[in-house]
Amino acid sequence: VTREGRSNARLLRLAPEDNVLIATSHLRAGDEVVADGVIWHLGQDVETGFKLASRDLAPGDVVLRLGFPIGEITAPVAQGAVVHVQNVKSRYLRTHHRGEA
Amino acid sequence: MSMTSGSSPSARGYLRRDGRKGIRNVIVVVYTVECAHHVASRIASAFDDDVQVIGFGGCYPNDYAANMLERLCTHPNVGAALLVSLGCEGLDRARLAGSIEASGRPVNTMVIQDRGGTLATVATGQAWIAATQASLAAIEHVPFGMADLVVGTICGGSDGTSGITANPAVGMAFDRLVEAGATAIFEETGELIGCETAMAARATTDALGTELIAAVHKAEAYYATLGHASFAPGNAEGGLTTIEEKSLGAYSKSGHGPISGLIKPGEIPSQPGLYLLDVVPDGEVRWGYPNINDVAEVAELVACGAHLILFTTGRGSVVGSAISPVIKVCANPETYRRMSGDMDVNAGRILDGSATVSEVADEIVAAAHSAIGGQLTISEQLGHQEFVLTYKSFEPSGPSCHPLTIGR
Repeated sequence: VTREGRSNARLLRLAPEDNVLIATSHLRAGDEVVADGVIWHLGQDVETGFKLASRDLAPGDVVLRLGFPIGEITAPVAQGAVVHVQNVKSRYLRTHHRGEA
Repeated sequence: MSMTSGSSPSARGYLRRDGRKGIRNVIVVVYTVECAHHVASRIASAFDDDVQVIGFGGCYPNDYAANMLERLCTHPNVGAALLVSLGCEGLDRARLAGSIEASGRPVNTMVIQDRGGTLATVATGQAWIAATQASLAAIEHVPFGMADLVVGTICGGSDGTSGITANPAVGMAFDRLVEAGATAIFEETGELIGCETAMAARATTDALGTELIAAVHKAEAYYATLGHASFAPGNAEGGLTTIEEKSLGAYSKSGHGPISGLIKPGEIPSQPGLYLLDVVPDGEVRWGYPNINDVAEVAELVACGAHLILFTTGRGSVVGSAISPVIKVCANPETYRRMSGDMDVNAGRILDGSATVSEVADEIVAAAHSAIGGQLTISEQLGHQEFVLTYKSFEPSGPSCHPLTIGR
């Protein structure tokens, strides 16, 4: 979505330099979604607002959303996999989650 | 955009004796310790939604809480105040009553221990409110223009959609309201972490830019002492991964315009423009979380003079506020489908392409005009009047935090 633009993508790229895409609706494992000019065959469900890796990511890589750094990769992430708390940490302050020890 | 500082067609303000103009005509019933809360609620229960309960639960005095209550009781949306005290608590009720009286608003103090207990205080309190309502009904109506408006924004229950839909739409609405002459306040320095450099570049002076960065660094240090960020489990369940990702979305509520000042809770902007509210206490970490929930943050925006709150939510917050109406802007289309009865604006339409950010911003501005004109927002219609006030401590903001008033 650009500031004035209308979105119809099911996977959204917010900035050219981003290495994640955002799901604009609940995507299901097995769905085929077009984004970045290629067809993505989803290996898992992706909930609305969640992020997918647009390329392979390695520990230490900085995650870019809207061109801004939003955290650091902590475990290898394959292109097309969900990027979230299981493989990203804050570069500022930790966050806590339900079910966490 | 042209400077449209005129009032909207239906807008009418309530002129207070101190010269401020409100968009609601509320009587507040104020408990000055938790022990008086029930009696205050009982007094208010006999009346409609324009008699509202606020207060401070603590028995021990706190300058921040006393100042907050003073600002809230003299808020332009408030026409009169009834203080309900147990009698032995620490809050300086005489000073609070004096400030309200000095503002020209009717005020009365009822001390439960002196009045003969619960029933007697409820009866005399209700009688005073009934009499005061009659005098408030006769208050002068005046035009209410954009230059009179103070609007605040907060996000509550953010998720991965907030930063794409509702928050940038509120930001664009903020840009339009400020261009039209209004005062706009955004907040939660603990949710601007990682955005401080970009934000400082928008400051109207270099000195203010330095203060904006310092305020975010203060928040980061404060939360580091607490052990984690301003980030609820529901944020992660909604797709937000880190505080910097949440911050990026939260920051977009501030729009793209210049930032005129940095204020602290209870400080009222001296002239129109865009302001950051620094909600994180000064000094060592003393009384826990900067704000224990969204409701405490809304109270601080109201204490800074906000007539109206633009509240974005992804997960689905239902709260409103005492004193100032809340307009609920829903970020997530799935949440909207589940909870449309609690939402004023569906910003989730941006996600499926059925609306642009600009179109939703137009809707938000229109909803603000309706609320200013007296139409009840959804949370008002549902009777939401949440209020929370806790212990905190602040130093006043420094001189470089405020715009120059020369030529005003």
